Amino acid sequence: MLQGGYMGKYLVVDTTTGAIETKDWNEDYLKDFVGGPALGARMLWDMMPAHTDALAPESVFGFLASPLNGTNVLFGGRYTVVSKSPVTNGFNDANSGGFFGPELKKAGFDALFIKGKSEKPVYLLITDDACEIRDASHVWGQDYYEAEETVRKEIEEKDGLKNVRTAGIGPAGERGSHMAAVMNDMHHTAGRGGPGAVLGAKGVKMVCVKGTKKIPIADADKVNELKKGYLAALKEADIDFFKDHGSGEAATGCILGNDASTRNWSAVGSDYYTPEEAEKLGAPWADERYKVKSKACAACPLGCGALYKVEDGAYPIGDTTRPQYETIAAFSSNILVKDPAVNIYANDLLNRAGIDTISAGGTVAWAIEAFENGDLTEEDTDGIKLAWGDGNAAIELVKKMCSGEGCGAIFQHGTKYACEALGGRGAQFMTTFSGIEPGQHDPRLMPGLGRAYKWDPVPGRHVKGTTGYIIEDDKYNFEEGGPHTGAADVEATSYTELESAAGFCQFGGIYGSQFSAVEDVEAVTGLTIDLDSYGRRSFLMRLSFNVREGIERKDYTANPRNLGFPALKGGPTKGAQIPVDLLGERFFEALGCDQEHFWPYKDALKAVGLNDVAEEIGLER
Amino acid sequence: MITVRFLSGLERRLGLSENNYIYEGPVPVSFRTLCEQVNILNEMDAIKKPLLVNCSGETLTWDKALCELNVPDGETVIMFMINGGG
Repeated sequence: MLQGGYMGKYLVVDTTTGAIETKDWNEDYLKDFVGGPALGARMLWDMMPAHTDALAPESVFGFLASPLNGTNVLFGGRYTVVSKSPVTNGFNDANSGGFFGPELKKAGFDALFIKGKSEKPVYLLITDDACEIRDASHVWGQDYYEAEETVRKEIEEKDGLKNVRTAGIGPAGERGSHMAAVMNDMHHTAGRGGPGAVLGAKGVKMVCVKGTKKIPIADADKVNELKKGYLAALKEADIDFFKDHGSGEAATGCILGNDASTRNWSAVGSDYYTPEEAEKLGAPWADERYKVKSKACAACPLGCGALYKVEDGAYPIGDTTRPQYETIAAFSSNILVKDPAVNIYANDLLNRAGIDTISAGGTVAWAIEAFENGDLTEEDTDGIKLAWGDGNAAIELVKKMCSGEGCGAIFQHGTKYACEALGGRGAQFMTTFSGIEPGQHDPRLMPGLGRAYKWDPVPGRHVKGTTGYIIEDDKYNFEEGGPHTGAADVEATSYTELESAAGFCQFGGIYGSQFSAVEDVEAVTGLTIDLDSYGRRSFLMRLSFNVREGIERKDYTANPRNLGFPALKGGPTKGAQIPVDLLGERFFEALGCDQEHFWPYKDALKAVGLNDVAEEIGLER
Repeated sequence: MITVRFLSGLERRLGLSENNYIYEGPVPVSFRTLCEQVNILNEMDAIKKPLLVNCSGETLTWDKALCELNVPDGETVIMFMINGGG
């Protein structure tokens, strides 16, 4: 077994038969894929037949703890969920913080894979080297917060286990909403791509974990040395604001500076928001009024989360949580709303229902534009008169999504499904990438994001491998190469692939390159990481899953609007047009893929050790 | 007179105690000179994040503002940054 970072075992639970198996890892998989999305893609490749429907019993859902989880490496607290996406019908991964990943390892397991379809709702209780399937009929239908509280209390009373860590779904996942998230530890979310629908299709409401084991570390002295260095660097770094206000602190600047979407990605933030109005949408404004206390994920020195108590304004909802930047932008500038109460309330409603706030906000923006254009009418919205800037109408539509009732039966599935169900009306306003509503960072400002949004195997993600978070003088110098194309793109992507596999939080990376996933993974596991090989192997494994499904270049779609066609007429992105096909062509060429399908050649797969994958789907040159 | 305003706590990152600064020197003034007068040029250059400047309703990147922006009398210049998200 590897020297550290892994418990050496994973669970496979079949909710049809009730069978529970504990399996030993193929050690080569850990060495090759480290963890997270790539390891998950490899396991799903092995465990699922090609072309399995995402919601079928044969479909596999995976929770993967990460090698850094539970080791006290700073920012190393995130875990990953993997499955097929009901939106793209391709591979899906999403990750989240909290405490679930570390606890799964403390119970002796690096991962949990679930297949089958239970006749009645269940939850799993995982303790040291053990797993039990229990009835969850009494919490099926409850919102996630309520269900988690009920089950935790139940386990405490029945089993004497306190501080059980949990991950599960809200009512949206039970209904198979394509925007359904996996929630964990109350307020944390692995939201993107519809993972909650897949878990719900297994009949699993929740997974509860409590463990007592120690996680092995290959070089504890090195880990401590790295940690000391990080803590010293953090003292020097400019982190006070992030510590105080979380990612929502960015909202003001992002709205005024065209990073956040404005009016369904069609406009310039500063045309609609005065600095005072934008400032009111930033977390500092709301923190001053509503913040009760900060909260942090495992091994996090920042604590970007916060609990709120809201007792004034349009929606005095009492106890809730501070929305992250993505939610703020999705429910403010993207729909031209100026009242922060709207994003705070939407965040609460969607978390309880277990719905991804990014996709929900994008869907509302699409519906508003289609409504304003006459493509949708009150008949489609149960009488809700959608309009730009009307926060009440937006909240009413969100409530429909959360309940799944009336028009919510359609809108709960996101933009792509709703547009198709409504006969394609308003299709020109769909600002999705392969059906996924993008994160709230604009490729016109950060061009590398255009490549990631359109061409990553899981589209529309602002956290995927990209050169995107760069503003440079030569940012639009694509034809002559430059920092966003080809080999540079592969290099930047490789780091993000490892970061995700390790369980690293990208907010750690904001505060300097001293936070090195490579050093941490090597110290914890004893592995030697060749970042270029690792990044290629990881990306190609995720891509290969989609290739086996028959997904090719023409299936990755985007609205030209998101990429600057037509160009914006103001702001720092004035005139910016991102040649995303060119970026894709250069990126896939550098990865060893063909240009017609963006599928990998055999030699490129074999060069990073994916020999069996090469034989199955690799192209001959 | 020109007002320089920092949004969302940027002034704290620059070591300033106030988020408003009043410039009363000769006008119009280049943005570079204005920053030198407020004594923030070096600090702003050192921040490795996207910095943006809004003047007369137009938002410019930091580098572009330094090269091109001349600020007329009576204007309010707003500076802010995009710092992550997520």
